[in-house]
Amino acid sequence: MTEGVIRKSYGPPPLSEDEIFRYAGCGRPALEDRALLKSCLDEVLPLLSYRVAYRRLPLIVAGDCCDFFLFSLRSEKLSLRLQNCTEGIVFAATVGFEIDRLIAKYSRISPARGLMLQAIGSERVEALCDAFCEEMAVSEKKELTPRFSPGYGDLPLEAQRKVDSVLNLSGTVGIYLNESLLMSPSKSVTAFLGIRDQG
Amino acid sequence: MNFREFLQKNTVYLDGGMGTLLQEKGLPPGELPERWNLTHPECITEIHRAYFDAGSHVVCTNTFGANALKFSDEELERIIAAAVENARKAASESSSPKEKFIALDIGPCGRLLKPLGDMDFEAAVALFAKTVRIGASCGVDLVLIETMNDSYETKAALLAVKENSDLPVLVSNAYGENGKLMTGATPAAMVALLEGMGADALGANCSLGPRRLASVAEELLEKASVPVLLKPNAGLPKTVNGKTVFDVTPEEFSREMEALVRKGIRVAGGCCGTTPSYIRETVSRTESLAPVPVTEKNLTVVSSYTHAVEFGGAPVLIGERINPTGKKRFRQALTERDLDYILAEGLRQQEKGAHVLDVNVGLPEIDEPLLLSETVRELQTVLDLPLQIDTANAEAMEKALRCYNGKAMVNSVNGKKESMETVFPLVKKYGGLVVALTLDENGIPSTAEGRVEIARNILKTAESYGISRKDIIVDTLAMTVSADHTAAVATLASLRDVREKLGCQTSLGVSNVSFGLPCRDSINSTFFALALENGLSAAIMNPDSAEMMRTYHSFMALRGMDENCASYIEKIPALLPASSAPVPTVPASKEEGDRSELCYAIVKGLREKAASVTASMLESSSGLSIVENEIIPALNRVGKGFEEKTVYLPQLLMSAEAAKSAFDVIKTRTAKAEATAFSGKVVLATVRGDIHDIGKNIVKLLLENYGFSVVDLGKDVPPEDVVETAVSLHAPLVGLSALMTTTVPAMEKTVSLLHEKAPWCKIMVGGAVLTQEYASAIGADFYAKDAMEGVRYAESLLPKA
Repeated sequence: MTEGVIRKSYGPPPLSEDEIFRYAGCGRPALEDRALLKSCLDEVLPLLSYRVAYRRLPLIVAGDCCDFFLFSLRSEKLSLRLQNCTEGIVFAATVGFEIDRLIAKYSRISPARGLMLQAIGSERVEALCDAFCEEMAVSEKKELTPRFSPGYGDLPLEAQRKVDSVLNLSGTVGIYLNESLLMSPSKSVTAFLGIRDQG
Repeated sequence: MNFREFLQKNTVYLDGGMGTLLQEKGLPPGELPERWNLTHPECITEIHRAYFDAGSHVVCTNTFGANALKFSDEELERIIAAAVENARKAASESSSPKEKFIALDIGPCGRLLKPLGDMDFEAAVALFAKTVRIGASCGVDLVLIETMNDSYETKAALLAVKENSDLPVLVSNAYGENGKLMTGATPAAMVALLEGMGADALGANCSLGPRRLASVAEELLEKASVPVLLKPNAGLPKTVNGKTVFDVTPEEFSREMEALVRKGIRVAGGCCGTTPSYIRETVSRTESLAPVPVTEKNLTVVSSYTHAVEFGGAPVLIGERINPTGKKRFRQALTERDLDYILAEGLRQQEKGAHVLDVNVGLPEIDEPLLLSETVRELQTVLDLPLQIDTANAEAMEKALRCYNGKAMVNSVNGKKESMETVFPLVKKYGGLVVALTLDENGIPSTAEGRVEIARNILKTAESYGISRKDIIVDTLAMTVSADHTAAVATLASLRDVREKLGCQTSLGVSNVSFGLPCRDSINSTFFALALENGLSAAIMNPDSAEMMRTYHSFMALRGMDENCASYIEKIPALLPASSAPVPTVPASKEEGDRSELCYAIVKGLREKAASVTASMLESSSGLSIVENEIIPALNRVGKGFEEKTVYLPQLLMSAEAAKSAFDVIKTRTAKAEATAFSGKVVLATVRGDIHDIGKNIVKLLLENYGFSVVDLGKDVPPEDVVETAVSLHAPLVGLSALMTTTVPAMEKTVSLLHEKAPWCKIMVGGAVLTQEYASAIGADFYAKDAMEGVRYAESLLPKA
């Protein structure tokens, strides 16, 4: 009925400098911004690791309740997203701790660099999610819903605990929840996907 | 037989996996396996008994996650008591003729420690202590700390065992495919930490199969002077037909374990996916082999949370710059608790090539125990060099050693009875490599013989505390040659004797030799070369001194420690005097409206240039006039651009950093508050529960740029601390930041407490979740939508100095 947790490592997913500049709040990057980005990328890219853990679960959506067999969630927005899906995927993705160390360091001595590293981390983990979702869609030969994370819309952050209980986040991908249910490493994503039957 | 004795003489067999077997017996997903000690005692006993029957000497109680985060105190006691009872029952029921021991099993607590996570080190120690006390009172024979993937949490657990029991303790870490712990530590770093704290055996478990853990096991065997433990998985998990299976069979597993037992593994078992048959085959393949003796490796080593530094090969450079002695600017930073300044000093020394950093924050008027441990904690969030705890204050030393994430250097002990009685117990408890100064109640002997004699006495006393000579590094004391022209000769002779006669590593505070002389670098670097040739293992020195660094790289090249002189050739250009290596100047293509080079440098975000231009301007103008006529207008231009959306945040910050570097030059030259343009201090904090501080840091940087004096309380700050600071400084303005909706209540509490206790103080708030409406609702005086708005508000509020 339920499959166990599967772990995967990836190579670096395709990188979008435009996305990074967008995260950095930099509409039209100047020469200096580009130089800063390049030097940050040179420093951080070799330190990143790209890891995902996921689990396929049966899914029944009824009203605002999404029942994943091992747990259920109440959220109108999520139910809407997962409509007509009979299976779901819960996954967690992270680019690791090293970037947090650099962010901690540079936020003390060079906030510009700290900001750029924040932006790079956000772009990298989202790109990892894209790579994972694309691969799932191909291997399932089915359409996947866009991903939906705890904290989106009316899905409370508390859903993180359920993700943790089915994925064993610290054991499988090295993601830890803190008291406020935020994740360490900070550049991590947890999310739900629906698998849609293409009828 | 007691376990310690047994471990000395035998290859010890542990048990195998528990989780997989429990799932087979029907443990549903999501249920905590530790509860089964109470609800299914017969299942647990059966598994333990199967392991004893298969040949295990030690079974580990089913208490991997038994801690007070997951269970109430009352349930925790019942669970651990039942777990020990289940194991005991299995021991009495098993027909195996072998010696049988019960280990209290302790796994990671499930939360991550600061700074990467949010759990306090001391909270983790307290958490593990609870489990240890219950286990010890139930009569276990030993403790197994296992599957730890963070060095800091490992230290917390080991400290808890040591402080709450006399039980033997085995410590095992989970290494990843890169051969390191999740948070970065190498096997060598873990050996340094764990041996220093007195683990009875150490090793690796989980994560990988025996073949892929082999290189980790071999590194542990090479470095460790205590027995090494290995408890691998049955390979990697795969999902086949909806079931988790592991890809290494008992036969392959035991064959690979045999190879490693032959190399010296003395404690063998299995982890995830292994079953009694894995243990049985491993035992039958290896039990006839004579245990490989555990040898003393005699490595003198310190470690950080990522790596170990060994003494006795290439000379070790210990950066001396985190020290207030004779440094006005540093003293000012300490009294103002400006930790950023101290961290920058540390980072710069690392960049210049220091291998270890000395940390001394001793000033008469400060709370040294508090500040030293805080500095250590902050340093280990931004850099990964091992630290040398440098203090004469025993309380400060203990606090710093306790929170240090690794095996520290300790500076220092000397031949005085009192000093040894104070320092040695701390080194014994927390581990450490201690610098031993060759002086005693009678002062510093003038002869080499006298100093060697003191060193000998220190080594003997250390041994009586159980500290071996590899953990003592002798400093034969560099004295100034301007006072005694034979001083250096005696120091050098005693260095050689300590190395040759006592077999000890050595260190020196090199710069002392030139005190009182002109051109000190010249004397220092020559003395440094002589000392290295006479057996100096480590120098406490200034990595900023190009002359010292040139000597170091030259020595390495001449002494055959730099193949092809590659490092020398790479490093030397940056160490040449400025005149012989002309630096191309940036063409000053000034844009219209730039008043000066400084203004241009700030607008363009050129840090180095801003600093160098400021330095030359200070020769003819005052700091304040530079601030008013150059820096502030430049910032205003960039700030205005930001407000008009022609300049974006990264550029704003780069300009702010350039301005800050200009300020730093002014501050250093004047070393007083001349650079402050406004009177009164602005207090900043990210509120309790929130660990996001980038926004607050940006505000801080900009405020400082505009000439405000800022007191930064950091992140996750309790309301009481904010209020206390605002009251004690009579601060006219407090800025609070919160990123998450969950922490807005903490902000509200801080605001109302401030209004009550510091009614004169204005409060501005900002952060991702806040809006003007929210800010008004919680009673803030001002909502700053971005950092520039915060600056403008502060300008409107605080009077000019």
